[in-house]
Amino acid sequence: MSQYTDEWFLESLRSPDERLRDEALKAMYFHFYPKMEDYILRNSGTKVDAADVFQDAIVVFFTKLVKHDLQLNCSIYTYLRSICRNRWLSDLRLQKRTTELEPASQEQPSDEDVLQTLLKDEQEKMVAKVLGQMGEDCRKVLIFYYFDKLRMKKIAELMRYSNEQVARNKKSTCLRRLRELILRSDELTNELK
Amino acid sequence: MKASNHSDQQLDDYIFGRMSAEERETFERQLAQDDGLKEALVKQRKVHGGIEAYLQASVKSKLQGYHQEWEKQQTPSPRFPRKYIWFIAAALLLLSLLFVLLLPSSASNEKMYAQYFEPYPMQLGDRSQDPSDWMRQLEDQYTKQNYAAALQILQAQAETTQKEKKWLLYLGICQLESDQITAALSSFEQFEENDPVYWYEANWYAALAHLKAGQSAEAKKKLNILLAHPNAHYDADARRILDALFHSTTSPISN
Repeated sequence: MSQYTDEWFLESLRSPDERLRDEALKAMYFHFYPKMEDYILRNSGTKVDAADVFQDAIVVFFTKLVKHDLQLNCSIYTYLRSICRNRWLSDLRLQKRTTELEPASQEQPSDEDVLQTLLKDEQEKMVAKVLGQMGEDCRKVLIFYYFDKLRMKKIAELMRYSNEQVARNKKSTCLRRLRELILRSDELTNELK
Repeated sequence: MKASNHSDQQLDDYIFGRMSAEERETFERQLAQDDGLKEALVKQRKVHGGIEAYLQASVKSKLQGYHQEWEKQQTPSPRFPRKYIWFIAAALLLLSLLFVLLLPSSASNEKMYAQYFEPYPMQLGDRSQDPSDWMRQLEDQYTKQNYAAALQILQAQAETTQKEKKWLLYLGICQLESDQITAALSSFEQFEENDPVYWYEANWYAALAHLKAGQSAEAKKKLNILLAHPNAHYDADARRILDALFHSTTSPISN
């Protein structure tokens, strides 16, 4: 496992290549999880808590990284540990459990950051649900465009379209389809009410 | 969903921050006057957020799968109703004892312990020549590997030694070499991950303690923790022990 470096993790997670991303996510999990589990267990948590907290921390890290919203002034391990610590502290507060934890340092991401990133409203959940029902090509194009913020030229290259206009048209069609499905889903929900 | 005079592209460019200052100003002026545009922008933001939520859920689901794989690589611990736990724990303890006593793998763990254990060097600097100086006595006993005697000295000086973590490390090592493994583990567990100097050492000796006790799974866990924090002094040995444990295990481990 120690052949993985922070640079490799960052580069692989930023890559739009899904296989490379998955490999990096798995390697990160196996590489850092034992230590995080140890931390949560030593601070009144269970193994289930540890897995949940750590998985959410990776999701936050990954999202911020891909959205270029991450200023990493420390190692990935230190960053993940900070998110886990803050999130666990916040969970403990919510549970009103009295466990003495070390105070979070000033450089660490705040609880607010973590919670806001994970918090999604109902309409966004609906978009996510509908996206999951769409065909793979549409889903990929929309994710490349809206999440990875890739340019049409790059999307065309990744999807093996003949040119960027094809990618642009595909994105428009998929977005229209997404909206139709959301509308239909909304109507169905209203009918059921 | 869309305001009549605005394209998705404009909404996306605004959300992505891809507009020039002038375009942005014009767009925001229109936004203030056009409720339809405002609504379209809100909905477009939901599309952006929803796609992000989809991807986050997908990543989380993958991570849950990786977690299951990781758990499989550790010693499996099936879940039983609470009322049976003590019974099962007792049976497991008995089996573990038999395992430690009878099976060759425990003997090989012992052998590995003997191979890899080295006392952490005691460098207390210039001690007084006074033979009654406890530190001098401790250093003498420790370097002669009279760990039981060194342990007694440390325990007698508990009030002083509790103030510094290095004494705790030596205490754990003396307990380990005096076959007080539970006490040794308890000493090593007191090192927080942020302890600047002795955390690696404490984890290393804790791994050896588990090895000595024939607790391969726990030893592996500690060694994996060490490897997650590269440290030139311990990495090669930790990897070698893990390899040896992997090959000596009787049950297959999936990768």
